[in-house]
Amino acid sequence: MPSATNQKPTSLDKILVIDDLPLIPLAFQEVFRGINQSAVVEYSENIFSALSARAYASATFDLIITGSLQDNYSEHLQQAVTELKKKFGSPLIMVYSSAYDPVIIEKMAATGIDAYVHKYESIEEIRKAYVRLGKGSPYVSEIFHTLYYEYGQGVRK
Amino acid sequence: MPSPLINNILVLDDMPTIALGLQGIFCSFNETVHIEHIENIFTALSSKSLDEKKFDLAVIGEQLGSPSDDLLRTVAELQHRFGPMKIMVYSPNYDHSLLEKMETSGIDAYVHKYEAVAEIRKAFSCLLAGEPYISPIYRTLYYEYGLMMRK
Repeated sequence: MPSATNQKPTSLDKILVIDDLPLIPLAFQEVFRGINQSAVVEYSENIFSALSARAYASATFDLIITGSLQDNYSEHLQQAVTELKKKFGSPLIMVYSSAYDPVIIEKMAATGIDAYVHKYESIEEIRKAYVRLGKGSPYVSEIFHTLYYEYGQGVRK
Repeated sequence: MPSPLINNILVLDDMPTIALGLQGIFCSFNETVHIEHIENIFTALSSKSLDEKKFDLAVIGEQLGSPSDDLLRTVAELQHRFGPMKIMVYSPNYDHSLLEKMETSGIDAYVHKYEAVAEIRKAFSCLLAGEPYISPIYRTLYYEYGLMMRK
């Protein structure tokens, strides 16, 4: 079950989107600029290029949205989140995924994941996630929330 | 021969962010572009809210499985319901037979989902100019790897 991370409200200006699809950061930029004119979205295809890119050698981010991590909770996921936080100045982490894993919800606080948003969610849900993260609260999107609380752990994917 | 402006676009994709991203690109060509996002082909074909609507372009991003027959049927059904319009297939799945059937099936652009934003812009430019478009990833797979990559 997700628990509050007690983070302070923060302005999420510098955002890195890690996803195979180059259209995704474009869409996120559009959404976030509607809320925060200072939002700047950078893009990397995958976690390896994000961690190794010279362009990001000394970069820090306020929020990293990653759609190309593993679908299920695993040590690799934990490690990826840890490395992203370590390299980029402890950003908030949003996992943007089309696969459901209740363990991710249960271990959000321990793993350092701040938001878990389904890829099929509406634009409004993404707005909500951004606003909620800016206020320092964790966020689980409606689809994952319904699967977790209404269908329980029986539905793993 | 240049085509008329593309104003009304139907985007079929599970992810609303895809429609929003495409809107950002298409609006840079034509600010009056209107995008209608629908999650899947079944909703597109049955939705009452789309009655009487006409589209200039449909972008099919929904994954319909590998047999191109499914996709070709989808194209035919969309044309049947909404009238003639341009078709852009925006897919992460390579299907060589689709490339071979583009002209006869009414597909105007075949764009890989991992293509850069600049390539999607190119695709839209070609659609506006009335020219067919195949993205470099698919072109490479088809012309350079040929039979080896065929599924």
